[in-house]
Amino acid sequence: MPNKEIPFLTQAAVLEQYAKSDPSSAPELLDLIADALTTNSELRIHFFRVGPDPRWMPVLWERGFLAKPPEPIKTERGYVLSRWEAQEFLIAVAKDVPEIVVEHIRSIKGESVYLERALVALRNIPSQAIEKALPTVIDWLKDPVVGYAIAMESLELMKKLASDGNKAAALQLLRSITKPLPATDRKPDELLRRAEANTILPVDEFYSKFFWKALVPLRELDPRNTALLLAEQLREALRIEAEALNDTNYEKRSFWRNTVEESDQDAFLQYKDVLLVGLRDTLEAWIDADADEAHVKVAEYLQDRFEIFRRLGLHLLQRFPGRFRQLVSAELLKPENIDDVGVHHEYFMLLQEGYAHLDGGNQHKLLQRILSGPTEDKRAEIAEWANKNNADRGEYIENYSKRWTRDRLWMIRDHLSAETKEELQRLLSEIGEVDHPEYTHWISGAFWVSNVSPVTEGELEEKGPEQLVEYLKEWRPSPQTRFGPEQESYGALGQQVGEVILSSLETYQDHLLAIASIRPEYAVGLLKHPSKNQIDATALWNLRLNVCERLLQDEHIRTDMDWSLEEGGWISFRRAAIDTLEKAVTEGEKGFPDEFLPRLRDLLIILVDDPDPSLESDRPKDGWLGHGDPLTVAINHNRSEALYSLIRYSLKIARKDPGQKGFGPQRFERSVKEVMTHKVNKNTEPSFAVHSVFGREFNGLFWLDQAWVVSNIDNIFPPGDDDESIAFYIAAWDSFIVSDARIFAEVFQYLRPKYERAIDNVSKGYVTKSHLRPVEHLANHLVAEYFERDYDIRSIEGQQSLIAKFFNVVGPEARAEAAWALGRKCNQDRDKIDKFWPRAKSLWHWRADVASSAGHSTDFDREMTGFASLLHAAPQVESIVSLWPLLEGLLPYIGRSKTFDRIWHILQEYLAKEVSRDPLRTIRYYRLMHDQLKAPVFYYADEAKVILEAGAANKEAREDTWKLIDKIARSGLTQFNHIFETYAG
Amino acid sequence: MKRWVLTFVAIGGFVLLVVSMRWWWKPLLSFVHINSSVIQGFAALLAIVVALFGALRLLMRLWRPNKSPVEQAFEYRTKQAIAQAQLKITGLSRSFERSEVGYIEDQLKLGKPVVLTGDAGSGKTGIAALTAKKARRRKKRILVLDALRVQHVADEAGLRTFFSATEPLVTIIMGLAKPRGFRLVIDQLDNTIGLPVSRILIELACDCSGLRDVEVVVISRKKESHESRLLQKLISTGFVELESRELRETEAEEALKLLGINDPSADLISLCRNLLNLEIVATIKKQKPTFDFRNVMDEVAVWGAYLEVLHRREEDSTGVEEADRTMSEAIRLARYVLSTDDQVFMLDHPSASHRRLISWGMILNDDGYMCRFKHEKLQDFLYSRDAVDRGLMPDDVMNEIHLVRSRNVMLWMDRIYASRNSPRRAQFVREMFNAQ
Repeated sequence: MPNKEIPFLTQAAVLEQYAKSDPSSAPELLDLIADALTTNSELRIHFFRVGPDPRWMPVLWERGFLAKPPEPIKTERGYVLSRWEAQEFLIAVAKDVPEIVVEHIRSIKGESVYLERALVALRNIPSQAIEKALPTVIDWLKDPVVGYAIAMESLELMKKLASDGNKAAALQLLRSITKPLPATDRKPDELLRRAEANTILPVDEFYSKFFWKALVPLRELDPRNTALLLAEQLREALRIEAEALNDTNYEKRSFWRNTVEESDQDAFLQYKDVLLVGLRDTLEAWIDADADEAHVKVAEYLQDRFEIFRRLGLHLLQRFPGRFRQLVSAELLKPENIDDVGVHHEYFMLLQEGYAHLDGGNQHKLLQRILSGPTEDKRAEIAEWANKNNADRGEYIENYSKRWTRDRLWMIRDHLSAETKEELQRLLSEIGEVDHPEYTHWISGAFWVSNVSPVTEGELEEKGPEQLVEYLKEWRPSPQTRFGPEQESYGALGQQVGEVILSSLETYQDHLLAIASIRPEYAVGLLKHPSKNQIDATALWNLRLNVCERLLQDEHIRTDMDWSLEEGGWISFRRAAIDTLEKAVTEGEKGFPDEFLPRLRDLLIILVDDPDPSLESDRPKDGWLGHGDPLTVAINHNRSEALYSLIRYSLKIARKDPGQKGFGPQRFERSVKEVMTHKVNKNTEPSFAVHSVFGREFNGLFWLDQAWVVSNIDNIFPPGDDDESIAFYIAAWDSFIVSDARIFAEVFQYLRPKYERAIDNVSKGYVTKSHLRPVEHLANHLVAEYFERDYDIRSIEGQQSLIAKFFNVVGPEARAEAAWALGRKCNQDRDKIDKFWPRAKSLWHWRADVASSAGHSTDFDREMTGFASLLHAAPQVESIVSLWPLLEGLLPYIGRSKTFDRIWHILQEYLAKEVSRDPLRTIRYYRLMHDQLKAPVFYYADEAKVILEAGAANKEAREDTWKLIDKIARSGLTQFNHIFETYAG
Repeated sequence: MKRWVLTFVAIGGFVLLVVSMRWWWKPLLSFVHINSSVIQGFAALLAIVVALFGALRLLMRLWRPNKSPVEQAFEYRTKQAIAQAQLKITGLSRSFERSEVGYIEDQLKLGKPVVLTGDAGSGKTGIAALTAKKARRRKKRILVLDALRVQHVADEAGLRTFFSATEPLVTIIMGLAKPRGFRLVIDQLDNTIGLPVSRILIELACDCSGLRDVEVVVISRKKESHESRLLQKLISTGFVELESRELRETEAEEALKLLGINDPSADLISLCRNLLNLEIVATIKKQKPTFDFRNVMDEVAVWGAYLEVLHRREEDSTGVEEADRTMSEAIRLARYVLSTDDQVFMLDHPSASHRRLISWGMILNDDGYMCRFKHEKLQDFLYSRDAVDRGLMPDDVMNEIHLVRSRNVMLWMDRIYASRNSPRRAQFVREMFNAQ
């Protein structure tokens, strides 16, 4: 069996034999192998991925494999940096070749990502060797762009150095990594307006944890110098920020940090926070290890000119009060601390934790100080503030003083004598409970706000009818409840009132209208269905209709358009009324008494003239809900919904006569017909939303009164080419097409020219923006119509058909919709597949030929993918042989997608099913598919495995299968090598 | 036929016993001085009862019901599979103690099914055979299924056909498990990777592992992740994974010493940790006790020596020409097999050379006229060495053999060129990688 080409998998196996052995055993072949690796990227990738013997590294180094990183690859989506296989190999064997790693670091030039990987190799070698390369790494870190890319890896290197006890090198690296940078060095897309110091470290919750963790080995090794370095960097970071802000007083302010310890009050990390936390943890670890040595530093911080360092000192005292008793005592008794807002939190925490560590005398002194209240200066300051705000000065100072004492006593409450405890209790009962006294301000978390009634049902029931009316007239929601998790509302109260009234209708019978007239929310409450007590349907509907009838007599109620954000005006009542009436005429509602139907109709005739939607809300602007989508607007507004309900009402009435079947008879009541005739005219009803209802209910209207529809069909679908006519046309048409999938022969004969117009509209882009995909639904209609006919698509009749017109005139997206619709229809109606399939196949053939004549242009990509979906519906009688011409027609479209190659997956799925029937042809087609690919497939789905396994198991298809597996292996994908190996022995 | 003969012997023996009583019971009575008339009657009765009982038992054994075609198929396939296993190394009086057999038994006693994995040449098939024999000693029914033989099977129905079964195998095994239990051993599962039958065998193993009184042992290589993935389903079903290891260095060294190879080199010891290599070394030693193993450093040398020894022996008995002819035929057969994607070849009119190859143990008669090389490695080596002798380059080889066989052959050729320090090696590698 002649076959010149050596399979890649064979080449790979021989190469692996060399890769895994000592290269010195075949010195004469080294240049040859190196040459193969240089020129053949497939072999190169394989060589490095099998894990070569470490002794290959010097060979490769000498031959320049680490001299230059791979060139970036230009793709349609920009440049891609590829994996530097030789460098990855170096990383794997670094510990065996430390000298090469150091040389690599010294000589490497290229993208930061390769520098970062080089650092990975570096940290795999002994610490002494790392030192030789350290100057280069520090040079890299000086460039912020490079530094940003390698910062995290440098941290790992620092960790390694510290873990090996190489203090000086680790500190040197830490200094370079943490160096604060001026804000101007920040990348252009980042926080332009902020002035805080920049860093090469990524600053966020996630990455900062890596930084703090990386400090652990170093602070265990040398906490003093680590702390000094971090403190120095923190001061520098603050200085840089102050300089940018031109703030000369920055040392005395630390409001950027709410608490030195971890708390949920400091949600947004900045670089200074990162440094502060690192410093804090280092100092804590230092104190833990050697408090005596750390004592001097803590004492220094307590006197520091930077407020944040003083706070840090206080924090350390409260964390370790037993180890620094003298300092604790001095700080707690220091007069300026007790009222210093800047150090408030840390001082209060020290008060809580340190008070117990004071001796008796100092405790007494501090307690007296607290009990005596704020200083005279502070009182004067408060008095001045009260004056400015026109408050009662004496009362204000007194209240402030009480709160001042209460908050401080609260912090030491566990250590108070009975007498002082009593004093605290007195203050608490007088001025209220404390709320986080250790904070100057407190930020709470998020919470859900729900509407609640101010009273319970029981309380409402206790009130008599008149009292209830009075109460409802008087009641207003409390403004205080607006900021809690529950807020009082009219709506919630209205619901409750409705429940109470409906459960005891007789009691409130005479006051219903009085209650309903007070506010729309109360009227709406009466329309809702009672949740508890069962109530007689006639009584309930009578009540609802009464409420509606009486209220709608009021012109204000009929025309009010106030729809504020708080709670709606009377428009919401009218909406609730329409919803209620609509329910009464829907099929499912059985309890509505027939004798009330005329009342319901009359109410709807009133509501069909509702001012909602206004012209503005009928045509929302771009970006607003319902823009270009009359159907959506219709279901959200009153007039359109009232019209819809009126049509449903007519259908309900007409269906009551069982003798009336089929389209045609005049089934409209006169009054309704008048309304319809009035509303269908765009000159008298300017709303697109209302007009869309005629389309939505077109088949129903046709059944109700064919003659009326025929005489008004041009009103429903205006034939004009002006913008307004087109807008009315598509409003009705798209609503028709998305709302009703049925095509009646009797209706179709009148609608055929309208379908043609709709196709023209689609070709011109005249389509509503409905999320219900009108074009897809139009395609569904056309496909359904096509399947019901028997003409040949290529015949004259066929070419004059709607489906042919659709494919001939609309754009690629719409054609794709029709192609997908064919597949969907065939899959849905499996019982009719014998009838549908030949027609679907014939249409596919025609389109495949058209696509072929057009040179398989990209214009057909999506359409052909849609036709490919027909493969899932193909009946058993079709085989890969019978479909071969169509399958060949799909090949040019493979590999064109930049994202998910849908056609590839559809075909692969089909082949997986077909491979058991005809393995040879399946594999051959699968190979053809692979020949189309411009880039290798990243990962194969299970279907590929099924195809290849079945192909390999078949004697005839085996060779083609192996060639394909070999081709796949060349792209570096070893997913199917096992199939090859099973037969290779 | 055998059964009729044994029946005749049993009845004949009984008659002979009764007839012979008159010669042996009288001397016995006189020896014990007892009244002969009473004792004589009693003894005669007793002898007749005992003889009758023995004869009946023998007849019952001979005439028990015939085995069903499925049982016969199970027995045949099991025998075939066990026969393949080499339980002893040539020249060694005892087989190696395989602790793995004990580990497997321990797990089976706990009611756990076992999957035994290990590298090629680590003795897995031998362990499978030993495991089956243990079960047989305990009167359990057994089926050792060599997966290699069912590679062609595409579905469960195919597997039924292979065993002449009309019901699903699981149902049959469930029936055979009564009353003494059943042990199913599936060997060489790795040979079905990538084939539809792998899933069928795994399902069979999983289904059987859930049956009462059925023990399941699955044996497979585990050198690649594909095998691991294949076995993953078994592991997730509750199979316990045990590993079959190569010999330890001390064991290999001891085996070599027992073979009479004293002071073996480290390379030879390392090579002989693999049982297949050890077997080849043992065969060489047996065929030519004076063979010097000091130069045997690698597999090329081992297999080369093996062929050389076989040739020499043939030379001594039939002459150089006949030996050359036989070896040439072996090479021709290897080339033929490698040009196909199959492992077997047909010898419908075996020549003298073929008979010699079979007697050398180089070729096995598989089924009817179907034969195959006992070791695929030898088949590949035979061809590769010949190809190197002919100075073939990769492209030449690709014209002679099937592309899927090229991997192992090229690997051998590369090693053989290397072992000979051939000047053609560089050219071979250059062509292999299409290098400049």
